[in-house]
Amino acid sequence: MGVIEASAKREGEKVIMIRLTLNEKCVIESAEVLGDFFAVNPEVLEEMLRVLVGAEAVNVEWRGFLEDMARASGLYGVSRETLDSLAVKLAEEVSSACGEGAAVK
Amino acid sequence: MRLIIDEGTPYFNMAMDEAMLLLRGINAVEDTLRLYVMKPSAVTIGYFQSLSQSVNLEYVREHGIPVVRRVSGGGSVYHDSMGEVTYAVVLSTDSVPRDYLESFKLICEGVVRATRRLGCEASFAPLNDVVAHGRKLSGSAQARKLGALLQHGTFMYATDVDTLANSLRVPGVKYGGASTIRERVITVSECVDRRVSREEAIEALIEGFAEALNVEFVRGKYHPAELELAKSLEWKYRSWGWTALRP
Repeated sequence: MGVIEASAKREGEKVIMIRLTLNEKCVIESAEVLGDFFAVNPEVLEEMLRVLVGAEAVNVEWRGFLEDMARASGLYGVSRETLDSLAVKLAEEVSSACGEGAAVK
Repeated sequence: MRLIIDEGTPYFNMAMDEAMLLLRGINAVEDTLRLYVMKPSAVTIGYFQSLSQSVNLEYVREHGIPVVRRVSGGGSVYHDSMGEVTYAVVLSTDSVPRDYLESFKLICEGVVRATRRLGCEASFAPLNDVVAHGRKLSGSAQARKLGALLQHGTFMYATDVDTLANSLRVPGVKYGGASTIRERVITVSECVDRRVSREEAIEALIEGFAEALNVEFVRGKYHPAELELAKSLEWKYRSWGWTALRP
C-alpha cells in the first residue's frame, strides 16, 4: 500500500506529523511521529506508536489515540485542537488509501 | 552555580549536554550554565525531526557542515563557530516551573537580558524563542530526565545568516509557506548596527543569566564522570544511525 502522512500546525504552535507505512491489507507496518514539538517522555511516545504496528489502519480511533499519546508522553507545543485536526487528516488519508470506515472518534 | 565556558565538536557538545543532564538527574553534579562554541560550525536537529525535511542535505554535504541530532525537541539550528554561542542550562526540575512555557520563559530571560545588555531590545516569544524587531534571535529546546532539566539554545551575535538559510529546511506548514528563513532571523550585531564580538556575547550571557536566575556563577571544570559519560555518548552522536533515526 505504501506510506501515508498527515501533519497539522496552528499559529504559535509546533508542527506534528504522523507517518504510517501500510501493507497491501492496510495493516500498519510502522508508525512514526515527526515534528519540532517537545515531549517530557519521548520514550513513552515511541512505545505508544509501536502499539499501532499490526493494527488495521481503518480501525484505529485516531482522535482518542493521539490524545492518549499526548497525555502519556507529556507532549508540549501542540494543542488539543491541533491534535483533533491531525486526527481528521489522518482518517481522511487512511480512508483515501484503504477505503471508507476510518474512525475519528 | 557552576559556569563552564568551552568549545568543541558538535558531537562532543551534544554528548556533554546529555551527560550533564543524566548526571544532574542522579545528583552527581550541580546546577550548571555551560556556554560553548561549535567547532566546526554545525547543524543540530530536534529529536523528533525528519533529517531530510529539516536540513538541506545537499548544501551541508557540499560545505562540510556536520549534522547532529539532539536529545531535545525543537527545530533545526545552524551553529556558526564565528558568530554564535550556544548556552546549556542544566537544573534540577525542583528549581524551575513544571509548566513548559513558564520554564522556557524563565530560562530564556537570561538571553533576553544578555541581548538588552548589548543594546538590542529583545523579548521572549512563546513557545521557545527570543525575538528582536519581530525576528528570531535565539531559539531554545528542552529535554527532561530523572528530575533534571536541560535547556540549550542559540545566541546569534553575528551568525552568517545566508549559510543558516541555505543549511536549514523549514516545512512550509510551519510558517504558512513563507520561503525565506533569512527574513525571519536577526543577529545581535545587525540589531545594534555594529559587529559584536564573541567575548562581549559571552560576558553578556553570563550577566544576563546571573540576573534572570538570580545566581552567582563560579567558573568550574567538568567532573571526571561527566567527561567519561560524554566520551561514551559521543559514539551515539557520531553515528549515522542516530542522526538518521528519522530519515
